[in-house]
Amino acid sequence: MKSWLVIGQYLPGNSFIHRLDPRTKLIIIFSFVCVLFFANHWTGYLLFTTFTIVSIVLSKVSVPFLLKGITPVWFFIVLTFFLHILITKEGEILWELGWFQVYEAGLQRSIEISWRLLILVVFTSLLTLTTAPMEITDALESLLGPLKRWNLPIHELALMMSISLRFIPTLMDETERISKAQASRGVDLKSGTLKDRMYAFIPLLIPLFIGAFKRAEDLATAMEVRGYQGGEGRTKLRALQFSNLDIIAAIGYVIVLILFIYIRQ
Amino acid sequence: MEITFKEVSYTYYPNTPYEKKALHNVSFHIPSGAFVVIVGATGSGKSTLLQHMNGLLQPSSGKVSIGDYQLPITSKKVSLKELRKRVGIAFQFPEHQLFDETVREDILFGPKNFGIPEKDMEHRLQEVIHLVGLDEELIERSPFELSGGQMRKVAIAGVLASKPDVLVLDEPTAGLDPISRVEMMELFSSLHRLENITTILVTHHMEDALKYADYMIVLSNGRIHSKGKPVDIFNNQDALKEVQLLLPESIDMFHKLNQTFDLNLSYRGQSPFDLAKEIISSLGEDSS
Amino acid sequence: MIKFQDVSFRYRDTDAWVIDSLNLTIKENQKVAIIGKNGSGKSTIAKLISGLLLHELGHIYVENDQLTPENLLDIRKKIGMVFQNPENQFVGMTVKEDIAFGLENRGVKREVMLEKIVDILEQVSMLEYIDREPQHLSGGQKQRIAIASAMVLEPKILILDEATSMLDPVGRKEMMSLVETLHNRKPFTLLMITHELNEAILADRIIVIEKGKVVLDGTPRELFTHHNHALDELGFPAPYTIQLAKGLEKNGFSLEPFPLDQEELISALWKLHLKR
Repeated sequence: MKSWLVIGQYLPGNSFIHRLDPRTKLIIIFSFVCVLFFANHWTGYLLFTTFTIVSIVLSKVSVPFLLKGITPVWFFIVLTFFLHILITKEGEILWELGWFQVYEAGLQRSIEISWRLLILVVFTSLLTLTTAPMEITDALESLLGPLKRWNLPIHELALMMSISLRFIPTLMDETERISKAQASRGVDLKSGTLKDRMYAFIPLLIPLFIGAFKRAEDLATAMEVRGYQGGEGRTKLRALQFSNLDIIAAIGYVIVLILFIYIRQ
Repeated sequence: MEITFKEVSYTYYPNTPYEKKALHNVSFHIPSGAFVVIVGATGSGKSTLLQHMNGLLQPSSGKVSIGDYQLPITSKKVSLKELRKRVGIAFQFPEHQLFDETVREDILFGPKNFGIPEKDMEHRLQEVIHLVGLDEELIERSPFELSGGQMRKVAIAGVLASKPDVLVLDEPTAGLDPISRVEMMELFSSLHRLENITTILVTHHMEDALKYADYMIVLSNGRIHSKGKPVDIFNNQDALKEVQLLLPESIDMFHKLNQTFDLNLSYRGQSPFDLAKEIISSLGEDSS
Repeated sequence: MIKFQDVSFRYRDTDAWVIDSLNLTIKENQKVAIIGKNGSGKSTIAKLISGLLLHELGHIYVENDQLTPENLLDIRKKIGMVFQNPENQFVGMTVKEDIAFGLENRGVKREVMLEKIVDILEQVSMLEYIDREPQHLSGGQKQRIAIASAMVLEPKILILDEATSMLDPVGRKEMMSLVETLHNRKPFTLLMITHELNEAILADRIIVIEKGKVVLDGTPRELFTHHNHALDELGFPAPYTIQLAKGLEKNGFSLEPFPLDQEELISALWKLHLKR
């Protein structure tokens, strides 16, 4: 019932971005985040901002919803802004109040860095808003697949991730149930000293852990009975498939990259 | 303690896309010392209703009064803790709330939180373990070493140890075998009779509703569908079908017999043996 | 076919036997209910058949093959199991994915998989839920999916290990009638582990387990006609209808055959009524 509280908040939809293969999205976002740090001129920022805005429009995610989703990160963006104003002491002094001075370069850098951070956050939340957690898992499994050669347990990690995702709503319900049961036995998580409150968590945590172990055990049995023996020889129902949309997205992204390189020169 | 709900509504996640109205204008009165059964299909709002009884949830609109306590709480002086001490709730599968190192500690966890003096503790512990029928040898063991049935008893003992005036039970016998089920229901019934505890039971076992309750509330889609004596409600069988509830096997049998043989048998809690006698005599009259 | 020959099992060497020289033969396509109180060892039997627990003494045969640690995986392919907690056996993110899990493990091709999933969901009347997530299903619906997930692998034996014990009465009834329908459509050996006598009556045969041994074994009719008292003593009081039938017998009515449900009781009474 509380599953809507889960971080990532996937918004089912049918937009261009939603329909892209998750691998395309992961590769573009990952490389874009790296490229972002090479921006050194306002034209570069303008290009990236445009790219971001186009992506948002294509995803059909409402802007207020997107901004609301990144509320917790605002604090960091603002903090970064002031931090850079404080520590950069180059160029002309624009403004002064006692020991507090704002330099030209400081202001410029602050704006650049917080802007970068904002684009980064918006982009990653665009990924989680338009891609089901399972798709991300599948994409990671597929992209990291080559690492299996070095005996890295990629399939197992992906399976663990997907099972954790599967059980998040269950465990949230359970947390609520147990905390209500303990509240009925007089536990008060909301008042008292910090120490009291820490102690009050024990009656919540222990049943939660025990419940989770029991679930894990049951689940392992259920999986074993249905013939699970690891990734070898397994087929998959969810198949990732590149489509024309992915080619379009890739071409669009490459054009942005070429423009960027051109601007930098 | 008497309990009164006056036009209580409750909405989960108001003003979000996930808004869900779980209770609609629910009103009823439970007199002190009554044994009330609440029935309804899964998702009918039973659990939401129960959580109002010790202030885990507060009504979105309407008023709940439990003895002297009023929800929503308007005065700062009234603490929920005090209310929770007097209204004990055993949730479904209460053994999932066990956590302490020993059975003793776990049972006394509630009383400790509610500030029961240390000198009374041992007495209470002894009292409740005998009530629920737990072996005295088990009290120093870890609750997690016990069988499922014993864990259930420990959890129930933990609720009883605070000596509540009102006992709220959410399917306390779920998953128990028939004998343990009867034992547990007999325990609640005798507590109700001897200690005059107001008992509110949510159950899917219609036979239990029929056998133990003086009053029954039927919930459907967050509204009160009907309330009254269990026998009267069960006799109106068509009404129960629309809320997806099954009749107790005994009452169902009465209806079928009456219909098929055009008889006038009525359920008064008679044993199957006595009913057999009645059937024979009425069938006999019929043919003479 | 399942056969237990002097099978014993305990968790640790120092513990008492949970299953104590058990002998049992279950014929192909038979519907068998195993009942017993909590802790009687009834669930252990299910886990021994599927090799989730390994027996210490004796022999277990499944479909004529003796169960050994070596062929355990092959034997398991013949068995489908549904467990108690609906939540804890739902592996996939959605209904479709959960049913696919077993098929994926067997390396079934994707296209075949999709066909099979649709087919089995139709059989359990859950096709409209194909893309649902478990948190949006009721307990009863999750158990139907668990049955579908087991049956899609076409096992010879289906074991329901207290599979209805966490459901409400309507959910239970629906689940039992689903199993009945599936069995009528295409028979398989059915083993229901339960403590609900009402469900056990639907089987061809009821086996009562107490302290790891078989204490009663027979058709429901045999048990209620001849061993009613013993059942009662073992902690399984007869359902109301059967108590009423017993009451009629004690009052000098002989009911032939002994009725097991309301319909049978009414028709038996009807015959007597006409005779008078």
